[in-house]
Amino acid sequence: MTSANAERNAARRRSGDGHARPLAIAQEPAKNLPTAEGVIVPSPLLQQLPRGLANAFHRLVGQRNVDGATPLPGRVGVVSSLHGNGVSTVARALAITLTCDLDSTVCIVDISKPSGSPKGRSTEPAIGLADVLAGDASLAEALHASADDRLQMIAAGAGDADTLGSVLRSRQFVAVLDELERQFDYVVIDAPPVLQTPDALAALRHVEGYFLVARHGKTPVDEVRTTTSQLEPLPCLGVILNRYSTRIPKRFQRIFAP
Amino acid sequence: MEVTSSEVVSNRLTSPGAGRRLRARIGEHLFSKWYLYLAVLLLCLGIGVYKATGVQKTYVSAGTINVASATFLSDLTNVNVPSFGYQTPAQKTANDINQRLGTDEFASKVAEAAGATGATATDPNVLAAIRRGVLVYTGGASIVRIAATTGNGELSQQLANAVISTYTDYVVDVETADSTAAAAFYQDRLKADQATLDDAKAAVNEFLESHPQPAIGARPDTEAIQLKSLTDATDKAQQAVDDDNDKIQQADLATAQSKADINQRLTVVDQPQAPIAPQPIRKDQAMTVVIFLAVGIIVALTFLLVVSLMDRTIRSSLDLSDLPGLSIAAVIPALQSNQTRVKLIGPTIAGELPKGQAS
Repeated sequence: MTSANAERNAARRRSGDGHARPLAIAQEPAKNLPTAEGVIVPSPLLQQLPRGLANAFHRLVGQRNVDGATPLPGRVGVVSSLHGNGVSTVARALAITLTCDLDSTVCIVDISKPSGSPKGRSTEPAIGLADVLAGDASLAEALHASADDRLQMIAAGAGDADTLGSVLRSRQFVAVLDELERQFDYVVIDAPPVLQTPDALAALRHVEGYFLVARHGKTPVDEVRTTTSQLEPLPCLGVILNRYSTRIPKRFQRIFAP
Repeated sequence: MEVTSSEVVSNRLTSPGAGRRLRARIGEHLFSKWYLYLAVLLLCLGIGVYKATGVQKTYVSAGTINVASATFLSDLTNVNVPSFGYQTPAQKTANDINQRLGTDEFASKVAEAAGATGATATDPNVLAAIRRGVLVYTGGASIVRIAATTGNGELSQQLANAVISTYTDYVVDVETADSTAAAAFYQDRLKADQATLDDAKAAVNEFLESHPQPAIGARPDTEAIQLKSLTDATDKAQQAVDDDNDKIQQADLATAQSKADINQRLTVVDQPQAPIAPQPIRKDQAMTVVIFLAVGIIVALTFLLVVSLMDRTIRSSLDLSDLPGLSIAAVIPALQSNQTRVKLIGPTIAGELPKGQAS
């Protein structure tokens, strides 16, 4: 699969349009998707996405995948100003949507937290980026498949925050990213918060654009301003407003609508 | 560059779409934290109800006095008539009473006239209560009404009477001050002149006893001259005493004329009566509640406006209008708690969607 992806990526980039095949699921089901009597079953990953989340990213990816629109770059960062804005959720939902809607191969590089940190997810794979860069594991071993084999993930790996920082600043990290870009259509980097750790700037130097996740009613405009100014000249692909909710009753929404 | 809160608020009010943005924020805060604003409203309403239940029954007693600009007596005599300027006599008198009530001396006299004794008459709380309880207003060009309000009907009547009598006394004191002072002056002079007269008379008597009239013929010339000198001194002293008495009479007459003139100028048309029923308090109670309710609404709205103006969080694309090049790429609704517990199928990326929406 790896070589096929690399060829497809090369072809996509050579064509210059940058658009992946739209609605690939409907035209050509992925080989690992189960079918029953000719009916195509959607990816189990997509089925697990909550409807609101899925709709938001269907729309986002769809808008980027029409003629005339600027396509998403191959390396996309997902970042926020501070912890707690839902960056990992957004990154993974984006990756799932890219996988399913565009029939693309996607790799999530989760460097938002080191596995050894107190806030690290206990369910994350043990082998990660740090192990690859240390020579303890190969990239293939660090890549972990999901229920849909078009979507894979590489975690930060063992170690503390300092280890992660040194990993992100190493040349080998760039080489790993280059290799991932050759193997996958999209590389989505789940980055740590920009204003809380210096690692985000090191990681995002190697992406072509980023989505900034802001929490509705929680993230101040000044934080967004500071974050974008720190990440300049990297282009911001847009602000993803997370956890949007309104308490305004429907009958009053016309009055108080922004 | 550091941006102050006032600059932020100013920018928010002047930037494009500021009205819509503020309106949206007001709506969000109003409906998301409605209980806070309701609490402020209820708190003020509760205070208003508490105050309304504390409104006491009051009794009002009012008297009316007529103020004339001149009297027939003042036309006949040369009694000084007060100048009212551009004001009507009633306005001048009402203002004068109100100004006098502002002084502790006058208020104390009113308290004494109303029945207060000793230290009570000068107690600041009593004086303040008198000032609060007395209302003086005009009822025309020459009518002045004096209304006293207390929690006791008789006290209200006494207070209204006290204000009228104290003011009348005050006017009499002021307008008879000159004649009274003149009378006192001549009283003092009279004592001295009377003593001189008595001495002169005693000297004449002593001389006559020591130098009796001769049985035959006239007094010798030296005695006659000496006696005439003593008699002249007596006459002169008598003249001074007579002058003093005359001046005193004139001063007393002026005082009496002034008093008579004042009594004619300031006549009590309606004596204050003891009220038989208290004033209705329902209107006052309702007014108190309404006022506190209005205050509560104003406070809550002000609080809401301030909170909305100080809210600097992102809520819509309008909030990014100050950041060129940025736009909302996607809006993810807040998920229900049962929706966020997603377990993705797969052996190795289990739990990659966290339990919440936070990373």
